[in-house]
Amino acid sequence: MADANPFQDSLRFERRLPPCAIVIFGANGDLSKRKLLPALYRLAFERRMPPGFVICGNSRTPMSDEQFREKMKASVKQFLEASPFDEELWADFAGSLIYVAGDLEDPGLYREMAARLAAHESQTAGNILFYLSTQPGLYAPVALHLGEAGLARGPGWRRVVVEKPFGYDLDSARQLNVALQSVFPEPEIYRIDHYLGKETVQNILAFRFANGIFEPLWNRRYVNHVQITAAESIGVEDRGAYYQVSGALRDMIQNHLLQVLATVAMEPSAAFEPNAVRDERAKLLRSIRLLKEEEAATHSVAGQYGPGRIGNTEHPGFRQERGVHPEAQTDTYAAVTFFIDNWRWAGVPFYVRSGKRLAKRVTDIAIQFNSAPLSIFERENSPGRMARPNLLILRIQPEEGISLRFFSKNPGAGMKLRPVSMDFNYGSSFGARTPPAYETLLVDALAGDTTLYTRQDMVEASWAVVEPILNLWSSRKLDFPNYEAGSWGPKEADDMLARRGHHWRTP
Amino acid sequence: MSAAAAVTPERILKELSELWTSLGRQESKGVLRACAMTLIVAAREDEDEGIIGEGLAGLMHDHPSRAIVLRVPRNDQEPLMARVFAQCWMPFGRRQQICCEQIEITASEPVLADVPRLVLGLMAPDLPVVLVCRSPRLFLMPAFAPMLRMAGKVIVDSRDHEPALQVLDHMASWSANEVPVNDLAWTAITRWRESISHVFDSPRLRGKHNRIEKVSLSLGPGANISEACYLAAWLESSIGNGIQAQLTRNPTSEETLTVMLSGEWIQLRFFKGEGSCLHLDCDGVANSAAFPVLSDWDLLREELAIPGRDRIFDRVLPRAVALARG
Repeated sequence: MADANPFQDSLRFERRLPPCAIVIFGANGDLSKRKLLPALYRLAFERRMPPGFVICGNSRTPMSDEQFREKMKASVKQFLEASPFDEELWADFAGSLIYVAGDLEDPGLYREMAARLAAHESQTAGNILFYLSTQPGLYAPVALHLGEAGLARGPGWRRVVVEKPFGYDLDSARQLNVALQSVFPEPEIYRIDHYLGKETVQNILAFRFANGIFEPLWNRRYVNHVQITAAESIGVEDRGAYYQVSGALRDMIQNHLLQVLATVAMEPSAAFEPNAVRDERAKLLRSIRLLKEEEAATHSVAGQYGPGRIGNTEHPGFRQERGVHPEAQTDTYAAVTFFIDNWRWAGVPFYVRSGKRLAKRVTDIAIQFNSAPLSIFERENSPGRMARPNLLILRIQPEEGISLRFFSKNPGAGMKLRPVSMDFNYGSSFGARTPPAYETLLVDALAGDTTLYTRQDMVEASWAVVEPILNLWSSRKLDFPNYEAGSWGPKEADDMLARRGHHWRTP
Repeated sequence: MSAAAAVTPERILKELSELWTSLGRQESKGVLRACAMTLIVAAREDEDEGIIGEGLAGLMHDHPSRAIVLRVPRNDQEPLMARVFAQCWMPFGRRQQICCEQIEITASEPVLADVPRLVLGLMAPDLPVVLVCRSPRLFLMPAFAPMLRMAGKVIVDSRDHEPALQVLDHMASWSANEVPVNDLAWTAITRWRESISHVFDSPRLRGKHNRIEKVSLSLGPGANISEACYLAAWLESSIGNGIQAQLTRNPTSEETLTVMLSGEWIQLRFFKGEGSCLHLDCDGVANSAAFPVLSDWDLLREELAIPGRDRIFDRVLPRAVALARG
């Protein structure tokens, strides 16, 4: 290969990123300031940004390049995590920042942008990553404008990154996909799901497919059921208006948690290559049983928090939050029982729940293995107590790691048992800094690695899975609020599990 | 902490076991035991106990290990001694301590031959063994050779030895025949190498390395000869075409090290001064990259993350030895 870099050392150097420009639409927004710019600066700090890279910001606010740089400097300083801010390096980094103001519906904006990017083409090789950090309703119009301005094709690669939500339901997701694909080919569309960028979610793949220990147990013969919990202790904060039309099922389960479920339950791919892994995830999502109308009622629970006192602080109910309609029918809590119709998982319930203003912030996956077939120690232990451990917990956040809970004999005479925990803690085994999800995902998009991005068929399959539930909930008036702030959710969610003799863990 | 009367693996392992039991009793939530390798550290003769302990404690966060610290004082007639203790830390926001075990062995030169058998019985089962030889004197001693053979990887630091050539020579012979030996002087130039490599990823210079006709390194005050030899050897090996690097000393320079790559259509100058950045001048276009000052322990952290052989280092080592010979 004439172009190969003979100085490369893949053992020690971080993955090379190709020369490129990154265009951020909505550069003045929260996501850019809190996540994107700090992540890009951090990549420059770690020497991972290619020489001559360009970051082009856009928003409606008129600003000069210099003013944009000053604004971004303040944001990076404020939101940079676990890294020092180096003035000398910033001076160099800031030189790569340019700004083009304009309305996203104005074709003139794209012409000006094209001219500015063309001026840097010798540095960027014509490679451009467009990051749509805008209102979801603008994804399709921006993509179409990019196409019309000739920016979606060029001498280098052209990629587009879109944030969730990818549509509001199955129909709108399909329409969005059609619009995006009319401009960018599917392999160049990067639908970001930041959960997949989390180290601990990626570690599920390593845990399952780099070790042979658990694979023989990872099926319906040994797994009794699986619980996936994504709980937040905060309310909707200042996202009330957005959340009101979204809800927990759309905001968390349809995307993040179904992707996590797919990662836990998918078959091993033949190779660790983007499409091989995504094919398996997609196949799993398509295997999730689509609930009939009557099943949707018994397999799902919607909840909404009412006012409550946590510690010594009173918290408002959802309907009392700023920007929220006093009769809002929004689900701030959703719990669903999924079944996967394939040979590995047939008959194993996957309980998935997510909610706001719950008892604490935690995301984990608990795999409950079957109890021993014959309980020979029950004489010295109360009946039923023996049914709990055999539990594997994959902790996504905040205490990232893996725990195996099992029974052990209490020291001393007799055979009294107690559950003990064998823990692997990410923080103790790897002291190195864990890159934030956005940093990982940006590097992947720049390197052209789509493994951790969702594909059109995955998005549509997951909308198809939740659609019967959305239809049911929108067709009836829900009796809200039905759980107190600071609790673990509505009683109906406990009843849903109790029907199969199970109960929610306390994470 | 207790001084052992009979120094045998059984005895030391029993003390370790008692140590874990007592740590578990002291902490209501128990302690978390972490171990990913056996890390043998052969200390320098004059090295402060506290500094080694502090360095290891920092290292344990990334590479939790059973650490065996070996001290061989000069001209000492003391018998073989060993003691065990634990390094514990409380991760931020957690309620359970994480502990790694440490064994310190002191052996005078006359009893050094007893150490390999002792260490063999103390290795953590089924885990890699890395020997960090901070003492160039020990590395060169024939009596220490059995220790080198026990390790899956040996890490030395030629920057600490004058003349460095003696250590480099010894490394080359070991690395070629038996155990992979790495040098922290090589690890120390990773950021230099990465910055140079980065430049050749740019569209303008991609594939243009064969236009380089001259490689020169100017060593200012504070430059290390081992590092410079490795860098020069690596540049020669990467560029190919039989190119030969020129090393010159420039005691009056304000820059610690300057690397020039030049030829038709190409003029690159990399230099490092006092600041926290490495600077690049590419045909008049200036650029800089963060260049944090790394301690021995930081370099060790990078080196421990690379299990087994480093093929590029193996390729470069013989030429670096030749350059050090002058």
